[in-house]
Amino acid sequence: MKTSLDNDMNQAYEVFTQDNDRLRQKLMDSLSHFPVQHKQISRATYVLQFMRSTILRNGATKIIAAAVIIMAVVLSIIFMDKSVTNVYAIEQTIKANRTMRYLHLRYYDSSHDDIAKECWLEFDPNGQAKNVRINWSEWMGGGEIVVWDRNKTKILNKKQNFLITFNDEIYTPRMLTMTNRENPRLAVERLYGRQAKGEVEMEIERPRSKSEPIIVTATGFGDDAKRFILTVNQATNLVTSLKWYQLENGEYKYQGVMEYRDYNVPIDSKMFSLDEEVSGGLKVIDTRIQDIGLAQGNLSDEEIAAKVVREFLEALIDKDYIKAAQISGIPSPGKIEQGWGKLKVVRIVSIGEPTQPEEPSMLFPNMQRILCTVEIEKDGNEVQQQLKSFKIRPVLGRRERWGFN
Amino acid sequence: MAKLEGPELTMSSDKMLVRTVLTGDKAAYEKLYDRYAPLIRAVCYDMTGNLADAQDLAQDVFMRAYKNLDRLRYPDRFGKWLVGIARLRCREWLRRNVQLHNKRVEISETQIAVPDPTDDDRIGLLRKMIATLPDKERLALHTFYLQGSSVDNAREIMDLSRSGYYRVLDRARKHLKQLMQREQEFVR
Repeated sequence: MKTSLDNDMNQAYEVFTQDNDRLRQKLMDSLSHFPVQHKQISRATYVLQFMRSTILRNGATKIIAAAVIIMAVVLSIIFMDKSVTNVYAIEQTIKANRTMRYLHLRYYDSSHDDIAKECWLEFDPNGQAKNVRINWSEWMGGGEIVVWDRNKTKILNKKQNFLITFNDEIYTPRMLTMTNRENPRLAVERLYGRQAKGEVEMEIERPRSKSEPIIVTATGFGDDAKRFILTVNQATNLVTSLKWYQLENGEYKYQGVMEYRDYNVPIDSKMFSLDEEVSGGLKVIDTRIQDIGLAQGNLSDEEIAAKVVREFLEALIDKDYIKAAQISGIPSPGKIEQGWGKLKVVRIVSIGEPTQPEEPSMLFPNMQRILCTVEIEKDGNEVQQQLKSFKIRPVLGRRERWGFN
Repeated sequence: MAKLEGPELTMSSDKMLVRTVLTGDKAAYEKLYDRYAPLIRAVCYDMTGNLADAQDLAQDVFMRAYKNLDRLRYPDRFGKWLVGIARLRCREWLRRNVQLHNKRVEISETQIAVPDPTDDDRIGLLRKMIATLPDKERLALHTFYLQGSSVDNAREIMDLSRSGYYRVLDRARKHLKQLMQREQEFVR
């Protein structure tokens, strides 16, 4: 009887049977130059004898033989140049990228001229990210700096003056997925694999001048197809940029570009630690050791979400900003006082039914959205005010607790 | 998973195919390739921890075997001979890649440090766990899952009796289960 281990094992071993036909063909092509020893000698001898006795017997056959050789050389220059070069370029790029341990990249999005994010990555020998630093632009990521390793993530927000540290079960694999997507080594291997499966069509332009880059264009099929354009340095065979386009109304629309720079230039370990960049007075949260939000216990997702909102609003009514900060996950009670405190909440009118957000969150798939109405003090009067909806979700790194920041 | 060969696979057919190749018939070598290439890739993966390198090395192994086929004294032991070449080739590769000497150590570090809840990652982890087992247990698993149900072929490759082969296989599976269980506890 097949056990679940058997099923997993079959899946684990499947990878070794993949691509067998192509690899066999590749081997057999190579072997055509290496016949088995004793056969090679006899056949080679036979061919030489034949050439000597037949072709070189008189002047006319000598001229014909020379013409055939010249034709063959010309044809090989015309046809071989393209085909051999194409295969060579991609495979060499895959090989060159395998030794990559450090990388610095910049991402530009089609929506802005400015840089969207800048990353520094250190990989292990298997090509998996080991250390990551991301400097987000103000417009794309609120100017936050993220440093990540497999045991923790630190996010520094200088504008809001806080540093949060956590080790989250969803954040870590998502970071690995993101770095795998941006990893030029894997990007090229993926495109190559998709080409083998017939999912993309690949065109390679290799200019004769070594100073110009190789251009690899991979175009997917279907109505929702993407086009990727890779530029590859001819000297190093490394990818220098990856641009992508989306097919919209029959046209490929530019989406963004990843620029790869500083391959294998060792990155100072300080870059992956924020220790020297945090200033005094910074609010520090470490969800690994601090209790942020409220414990879910036996409550359903909807119940704990409503409880978080209720207790947060009650803390505001009591002007207990330390408690409000702890429940919400907003690092600074002072910030709560400056923001929420100004609202002067005096009473909870209603806490709406929790609903799922229209756009589900990848990082928080069970996030709940709650609309509330409160009574606030305004110009000496008490008036009703509907609040912007709360998005309540588990605390990063402590998913048994719920908060909203 | 589609197995490449079925139970009809016997050592005598290896012998026959090797002899056919030696007469100059390359098609017979293609059959030997289909029969053993996945196993050789798995053996190379154990040493490299990287599928692309394992594929390259496996190609080298078959190339080397082809060139030296007339030196194979016992053609019915082609599989065992091939595994020997694969190990030799991988050791050469490791010597040339000083950085990769530490790869297996790093693989075992990685598998503990990265809890991956998705299926694909779980299978990748399993593959890496297999690579940490002792040589004999690894080869028993490779032959069992890649050589179909031809236990005779598998035990010949490992130079074991039928019962000896099953003992090693059983030990390997238990060992692997323990490793996976420990990993699951860690992830939780």
